[in-house]
Amino acid sequence: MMTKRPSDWEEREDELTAAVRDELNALRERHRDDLPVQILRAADTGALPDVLQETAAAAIEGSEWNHALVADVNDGSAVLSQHAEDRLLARIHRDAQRRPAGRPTWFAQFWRPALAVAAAGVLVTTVVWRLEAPAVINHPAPETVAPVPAAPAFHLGLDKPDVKLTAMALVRRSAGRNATFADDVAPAMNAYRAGDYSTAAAEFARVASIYPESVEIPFYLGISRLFLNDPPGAVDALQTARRVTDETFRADIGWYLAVAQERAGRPDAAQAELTSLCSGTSSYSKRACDAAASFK
Amino acid sequence: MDEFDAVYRAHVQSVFRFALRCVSNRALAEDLTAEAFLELYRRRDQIDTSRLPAWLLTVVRNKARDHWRRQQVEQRYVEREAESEPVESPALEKWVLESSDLKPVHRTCLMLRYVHGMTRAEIASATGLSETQVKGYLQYALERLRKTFQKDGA
Repeated sequence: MMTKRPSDWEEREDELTAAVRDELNALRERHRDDLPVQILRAADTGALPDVLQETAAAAIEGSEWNHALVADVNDGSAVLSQHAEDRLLARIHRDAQRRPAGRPTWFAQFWRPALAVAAAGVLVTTVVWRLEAPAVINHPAPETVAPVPAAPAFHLGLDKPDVKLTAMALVRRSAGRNATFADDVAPAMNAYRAGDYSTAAAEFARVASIYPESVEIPFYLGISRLFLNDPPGAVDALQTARRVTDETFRADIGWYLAVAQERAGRPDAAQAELTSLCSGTSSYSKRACDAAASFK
Repeated sequence: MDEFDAVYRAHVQSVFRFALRCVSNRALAEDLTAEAFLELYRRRDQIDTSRLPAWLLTVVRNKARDHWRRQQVEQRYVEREAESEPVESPALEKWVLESSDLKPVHRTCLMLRYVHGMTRAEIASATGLSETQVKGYLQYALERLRKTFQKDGA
């Protein structure tokens, strides 16, 4: 029996985990004080308050377990259904018409009449006061505008890399099946070459689990997502490609991660990729040094 | 609003996925997504749509940061000292992290339920999967786990 069960635990799960009961308990103990997955995932997007952001980022960097938790849930499975997409759009339309920018509804309903009365009082007082005081220039109060991030200008252009394969790809076969890697990825690669990135992304995602050791699949999936204007999805795929640690694509991955990070609104992460590339001797080094300088 | 609707359709999925990663809560991620697009609608004359979705993601990230600040997570977690893991990982942990039997989504569900003790509903909310999907992934992962460790005699 596990030391602590979720509230929806089923008896069947006792049977299925019986062979590793002690190991599971030890694993639970080992990760008892880990940061919650919600915090880790938020750190991965840079969405935490500053100090905790540093702590959580270090926890991801220093633990393969935490790293897997963050990376694995970013596989693009989560989508809004068509119904949810329509519902949200209807809500945006409704809110856009109902509330002026920066003013919550209760403001208009409750405070506007009160302010009207107060303004009338101020007007009367001002008229009486102006009869006695010298004229002054009244400047309008500055309008309060919610801070909005400036539209970013991208330093890094998006070029389409040609298809290349590692030596391993030429001999790779799927486990337990007769197909070769080349056969399985052909639909994705053909779509990619033709510029049909939507089909390419779907096909690459489909074969990714058949060849988890392939660097080509997550790399070209990442590029396809960049062209589909999905920078966070591209970052996920390219980071997966990086974990395969194949030298053939190392520099390409660094460059396109920089492109994706910038488009995902994370210039610091893009800069870090460029700095790393700049210090190397790849074909991207000079471009990376020039681009890194333009970031400053 | 036709032009705005087209922009919304083009970017809503990636903005939602990003929001979900920021807050790990489906309902809240929908809220953040809607708020970001509402902000875009109100400032549509000022924003170059060719620069999307980066602008939307920045809005979502800022709102998510406000959310976590309100949750006072810093007070709860920041003083927790980073403990280094023992050098040698247990065999079960190695299998979970490295087994090619598991797809990433199976691994995640397995880790969250059997190590981090989350309910299926919590896993669904945190990952954006449906509870039915979570149940299916867990069933598969658990079956692989049982077969592997029974076969190895572990």
